[in-house]
Order: sequence, then C-alpha cells, then structure tokens
Amino acid sequence: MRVEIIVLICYFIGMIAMGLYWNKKSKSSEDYMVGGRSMGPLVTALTLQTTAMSGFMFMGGPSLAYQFGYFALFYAIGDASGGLINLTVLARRMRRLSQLLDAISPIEYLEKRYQSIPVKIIGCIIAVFGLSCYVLGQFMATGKTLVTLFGFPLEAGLIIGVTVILFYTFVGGYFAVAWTDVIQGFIMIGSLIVIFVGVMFDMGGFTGLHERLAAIDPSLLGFWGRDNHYEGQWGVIAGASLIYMIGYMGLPHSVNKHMAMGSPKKAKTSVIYATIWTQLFCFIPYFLGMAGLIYFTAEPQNLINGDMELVIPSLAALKFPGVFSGLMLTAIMSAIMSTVAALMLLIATIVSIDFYKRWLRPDASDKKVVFVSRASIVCVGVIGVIIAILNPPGIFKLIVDTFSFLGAAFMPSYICAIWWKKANATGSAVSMVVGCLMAWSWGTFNLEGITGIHAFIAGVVPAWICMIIFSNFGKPTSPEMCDLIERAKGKKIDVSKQVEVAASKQLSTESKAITQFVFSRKSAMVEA
Amino acid sequence: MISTKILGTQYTPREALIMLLNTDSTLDIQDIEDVYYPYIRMRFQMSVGKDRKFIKKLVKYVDCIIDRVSGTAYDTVYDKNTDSKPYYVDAEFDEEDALESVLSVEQCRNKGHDFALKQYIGKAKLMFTPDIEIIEEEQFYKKFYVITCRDKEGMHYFIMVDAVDGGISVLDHEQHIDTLVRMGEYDQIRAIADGGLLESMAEEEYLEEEIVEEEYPEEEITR
Repeated sequence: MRVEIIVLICYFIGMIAMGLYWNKKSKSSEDYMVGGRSMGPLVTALTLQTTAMSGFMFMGGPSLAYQFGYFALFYAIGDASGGLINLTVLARRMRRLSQLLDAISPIEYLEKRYQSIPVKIIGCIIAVFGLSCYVLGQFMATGKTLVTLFGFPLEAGLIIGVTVILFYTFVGGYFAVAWTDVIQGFIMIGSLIVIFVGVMFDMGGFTGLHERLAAIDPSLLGFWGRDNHYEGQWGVIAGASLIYMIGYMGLPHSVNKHMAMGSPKKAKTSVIYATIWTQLFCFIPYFLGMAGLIYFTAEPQNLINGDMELVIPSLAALKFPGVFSGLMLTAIMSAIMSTVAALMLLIATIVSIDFYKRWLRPDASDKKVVFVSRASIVCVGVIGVIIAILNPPGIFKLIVDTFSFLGAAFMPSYICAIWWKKANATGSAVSMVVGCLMAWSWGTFNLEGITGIHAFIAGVVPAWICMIIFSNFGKPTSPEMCDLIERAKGKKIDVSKQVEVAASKQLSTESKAITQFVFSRKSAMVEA
Repeated sequence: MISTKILGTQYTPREALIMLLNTDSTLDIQDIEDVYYPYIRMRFQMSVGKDRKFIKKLVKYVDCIIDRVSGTAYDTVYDKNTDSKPYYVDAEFDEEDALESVLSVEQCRNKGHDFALKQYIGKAKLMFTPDIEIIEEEQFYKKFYVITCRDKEGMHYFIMVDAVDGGISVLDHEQHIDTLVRMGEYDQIRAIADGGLLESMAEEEYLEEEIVEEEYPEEEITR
C-alpha cells in the first residue's frame, strides 16, 4: 500500500501546487463561477459526469453485483432510464404543466401546482433529509477508502476523511483552476475504463464472464439473484427499477435558468455527450462487481478486509498494483470529495438562502448569510460522522433506502399533479409524509427480507392511498388550477406533438409574459 | 420608436420557420411577428482577498441576466469565441413590439446581488464573505418570433421562437380562446388565415403565401 499512499499524496500536492502556481502567475485569479468562457462540449460533458460519479458508483453498486450477480442491474436500468424518461412523449403533459406553471425544479412544480407553502416546506425537508443521507453514504465511502490505504480503524478513517472533505469544501476554491475538474475527470473515468477493459480482456469478454459466473452459481445470471434469493419478489424488482427513475425527482437541484449568448449547438452537444457518458457508466461498476466475485471466490485473501464494498479497489490492487492502483484510489477520493462538496454546498444554499434569508431574516447581511451557510456545512459533517461511527450503515443499503423514501414521497404528488385535478395540498402533504416514513422505516428495520417487498413499494403504496383519501379534505383545487391542468392536456387545440416535445423549459417565463402581451395586443386591436 | 441594443440573433425569420418545419413538416404556418423582451445584464466582481495578504488577488466573477418583466435571474453560457462578452447589435423597433419593463434597475440590481451571493455560497468553496460589486451593467432586448399556426380544425395556436438560440415554446393560447371568441376575434383570425389582412402586412416583411412561394420555393425548404 505504500506506493498507493505516495500516489495519493502526490496527486493532492500536485492539485494544490497547480492552483498556487496559477494564482501567483496570473495578474488576478480570475475565475467565472457563472458565465465566462466555455470549455467545449466534450469537456463540459466530462465535468458534468464527474460530479455525478460518487462513492456509490465505486463501492455501493459493485458490492450488490458481487453479492447477487445480474440482479443488481435492475438498479442500473433505473439509473440509466431516469434521464431518458423525460425525453419521452409520456412526460409531455408533465412538461407542459411545468412550463405553464413556470416551474424549473420539482419542488417548485409541487409548490405551484398545489398552491401551498406547507407542501413546499415538507418537500424541502424531505429533500434535505434525503441529501443528508446521501452525504452520509459518501462519508462511509471515504472512511473505507482511508481504511484501505492506511489500515486505520473505521472511526479514525471517518474523522480524518470528513475533515479532509470539509477542508476541501471550505478552501478548495483557493486552489481551483479551470482544469482541476478536467484532470480529476480524466483520472476517474480513465481508471474505471482501464480496469474494465483489463478485467474483461482477462475474462475473455462477456462470454467468459458469464461462463465463470455460471461455474460459481448459475443463479448469478438469473433474474432473482444468487440462490434465487429474490424469487417471486416482484415488489423488490419493481422497486429496484423505479427508485432511481423516480427518486431523482426528490433530490433538490440547484437549478438555474440558462440563457445562451451564442450558438446553441454546443450546449446541445454537451447534453448528448453527457447522456452517452451516463448510459455507459451506469453499468460498468456493476460488471466490475461481478468480475470481482469471480476473482475473489478463487482468491478470497485478495479482497481487501473481506469487504465487498472494496471490490473495485481490490481489483485495481490485483490487476494493476502500484501506481495505477494508487490512481484508482485517488479517483475514488476525488469522486467522493467533489460529490460531497457539491451536496454540502447545496444544503448550505438551501439552509442559508431558502430558509434563513427568505423566511427568517430577509434583511440579513451577506456576512451573516455566509456564516449560516458555513455553519450548516460543519453541522452536517459533525452529525454525519457521529451517526456513521455509532451505527455504520452499508453504502449500498443507505443509498438505496434514500432513493426509496424520496421516490415514495414524491411519486404520487408528481403524477397526480397533472393526471388528477382533485389532488390537493392536503392529499399531497399527507402522502409525502406517509410515503417517506413508511419507506424509511421499512429500510431501517430491514423488513424487505421478511416480506419480499422493496422499501420503495412499501412506501409508495400507502402514499398513493393517502393521496386518494386525504384529497377529499382541506381546500379543493382552485378552478384556475383546474383550467391550467386542462390546458396542459392540450385538448382544445391540436398542437403539434413534435413541437411540444421540443419545447424548451428555459423559456417558460418568457412564454408566460409574451402570451399575455400578444393577447393583450390582439384584444386592443379588436377593441380599436 | 425604441433605439437600443439587442442580442445578436442566430436565426432570421426564414431560418426560424425552416427550423420549425424541420421539427414538424406538417405545421400549417400562417403568420410571423417580432416581439422584443427586456433584460439587464450585470457582471459582479466578488473580491475575496481584500486586506488579506496571501489571497489578495483572488477574485471571482458572476455574470447574470435579469428578466425585467418577471425578475427571473439567468446565468449565461457564452460561446468560447466571444471572449466572455455577449454579442449585441443596434436595433430600432416600435414600442408596441416590446414588452414593458416591470422591474426598476435598482430592483434588478438587488436580485442580481442575491443571485451572485447564492452562486458564491453554492460553488466557490471559499471561507470568507466576499465584497460584491457590479462592474458591468447593460440593458438590452432579446428578439422572439411569434408564429401563428393552424391545427387541423382551423383553430389557431402560437409558437414562440427564441431568435438567439432557436428555443421554442408554445404560448398558452387556450387560456385566451374563450375571450377571443367572445370578442369576435376568432372570426377575425379566420380572415387573417384566408389571406385578407396578410396582404396589408406584406410591406412590413411579414410572411404571406405569395411571398413564401416566390422566395422560399418548396424545394429549398427542407421538409
């Protein structure tokens, strides 16, 4: 492990040195946080992909594939489909309603559709809780990586790892240059591809992989997982496929509206590249988990600490010991740090801007707002470490449980928003709370194993029932909103379907204002 | 008349129509008109290192654009060839073709300040509170095309096209159908579709069937 440690240390020193050198050399350390020079579609897509890569991709997902074989790919399918589903015609009505409501994020969509601040608050609380659980999963991945490298006890690994992450979150900007993310991205993606190609070459491709898995246990290639563990449990399979598709809607996004100042073609190209990267990297970690099962069944001593979640670092140490293995661990640390920093800054923004400045202290100074944001990051870090030390969760289970309760909480509210006019704020609020609590409890008390029902299904079914029952109480949906929902269906006038699918969400604000302007002008013409 | 600058357009009216027809070749296009939307662009300088010896040169920039009708803040994506500056052209148009600014410049500055601070908190990965000041400020308009189309029943609807990036959006016409019918406007819209009012608009370079056939013969328009 000594070489790996040296590589990791050299990498971090290199990044810091590059930042310091750039700061010293340039007349001013100019950096556009927003705006500024575009770096081209391929690089933009690369940086987008690297922020999506996290400890789950390197540790959580592969561990499930190590345990259950092809069954794990149900999760990958959901992950890959989540973005694509928005492009389908099925989402047309939802997209149209989003445009009419001028809502760019899912939480804003719910707030405006249900015309309810409590719905927004409940949604935000669930979303921030989900974010925090996701961050906790990354803390665990950090701790395990340091355990791999240094042989610390997990508690020490967690404290040191989280301290490093907090340091990066608070001072990373002093050393960042435009190319830091690019270099990190190349290391992450490059190391994953090299391991995948090397391992598959060794196996003899997918044919060899399947033959060797079948030799261990033919059920590894089946629907139901190893030993047919999930046989007949369609609830688990449905949940596995759906949690990422739906659960992503619950994660709050720091979404800005964009205005292009130049050619739109490059922006669209970035999205295409990003989509290709995403589709590719949804599946590779799971296949590496299965390959790891083959290697470490034959030589179990090579699986670091006997921990399935360390299957990819173990593969790297086995196939490419030394510098490359060090780069792999560097890639994992980079992925975790960039993801966690982004998530914690997002939590900081929500707490300081959306709660503190908007609700509690509208006249707060910039200094106070920044203080609150930094304090919230420290709180998340400290609480996360305490929970991780007292009750260390498995990474995969934690992430899956998180997306399960997010999906269960938001699915009925999101779908009923357009398909059921009677769905009101009371129904939405109760369904979110019940869905979240049921799914979270199911996962916490490990009821999936006893019942054969996935936590997502256990949460979403009661959520739907509550939506239907409780929409009969409280303030009914306003006539104006009912009319808006009808307009979103587009029944009165047969608008071109292709045009509706191609419509841009970014223009919803202008569309609303220009609609008013155009028709006011027409009315004035007629009156004149 | 308003004399101002607008964002340089990437799409002429013809190109906007071709782009729409490439999206759906069966569109029954009736009319096209220009609409101008007001914005203000601000560049914020976030000085983090003032009075701090080792990081005094550390400066971050945030560009934002504020919609002066609704107050929505936008971040910007520049083409790498434009050196981080938007491309403007001078333009003159009727006040009737422009939306009225609802927000004052001061209100826009406050919104921009909040946007810049939010970006700083969410992205900068820096400990200290920045000094935020506006170093560039420009008011401009953006051109949109509003294209009247007809569905199979002869009912009209309207598609908005962003003349800068070609983005499209369908206007919420259904909200106004009853109003238009009550006011008898719908009958007048039929008259437009039959070619009546279009002839009088030809001088203002609006599209009409004869001009379409003469200048944009079928083989040139990609279907």
